[in-house]
Amino acid sequence: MAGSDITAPAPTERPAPDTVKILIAGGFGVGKTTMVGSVSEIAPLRTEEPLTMAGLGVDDLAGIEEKCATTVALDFGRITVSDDLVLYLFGTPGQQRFWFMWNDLSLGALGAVVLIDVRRPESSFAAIDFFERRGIPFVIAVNGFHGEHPYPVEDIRESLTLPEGVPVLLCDARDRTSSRDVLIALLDRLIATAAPAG
Amino acid sequence: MVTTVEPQPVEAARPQPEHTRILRLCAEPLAVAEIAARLDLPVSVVVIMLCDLLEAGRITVRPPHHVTRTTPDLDLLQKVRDGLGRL
Repeated sequence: MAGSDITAPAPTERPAPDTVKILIAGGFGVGKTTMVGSVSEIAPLRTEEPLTMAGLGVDDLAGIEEKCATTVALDFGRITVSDDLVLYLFGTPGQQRFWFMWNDLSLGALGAVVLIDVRRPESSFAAIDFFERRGIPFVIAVNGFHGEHPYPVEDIRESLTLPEGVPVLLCDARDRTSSRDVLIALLDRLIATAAPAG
Repeated sequence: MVTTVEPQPVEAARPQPEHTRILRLCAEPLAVAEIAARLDLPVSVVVIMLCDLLEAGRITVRPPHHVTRTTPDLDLLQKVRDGLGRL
């Protein structure tokens, strides 16, 4: 019986961490995958389903020359906020025909980031409508093509006809700090609206 | 959040290869979407397999933090905010 008194190390009863999620929305090619990837501590994961024939001809790919493959499923990233709290990022296309996915995803989400490509802001309108109608708090992040921002924030805000109080930020989705700051702006907005008035 | 239960219950049936892979992955808690991505399977398929495993007592599942719009959890928001600030 030698050795039998050596008990196997008790499975570390570390409880599963609490989890929260934030959605990253926007039209095709606006940089959702890039943003999830730049702030995630894991390589961004993707459960990918190829674009169906129904999508061909409908998805306007003009102006996104460098993007040859597009996703209809989830981009997925993770940020360990603390020992017992993990933040998940979910990016999926914001087109109306994918709203069935958003309905599930948005359950229990803290809020959302709507990414905008200034060259094609209209591709993100559906995402804005989605969150607005459901009362899900969101911020607008304008992703500069090659990190450049030719238009002032106020012009962009005006062109989007946003509800009062929705923050508009300029960002570079490729940059970790820039993308993190967008998430922080969302949290600041959530905290500001959650705090009892006065 | 899905976590594998160790040791496995004695009466456990022999699992499918996918089940085995899930159990191996979930030694540390993992989100459903992450499991799906790692297995390269659609989320809907993974959910069905997770239900099998849950029924067999092989995994535990912890639902995401419950967030309500009416009574926001300020402490939670502040915690996430602080965590992001440390990145």
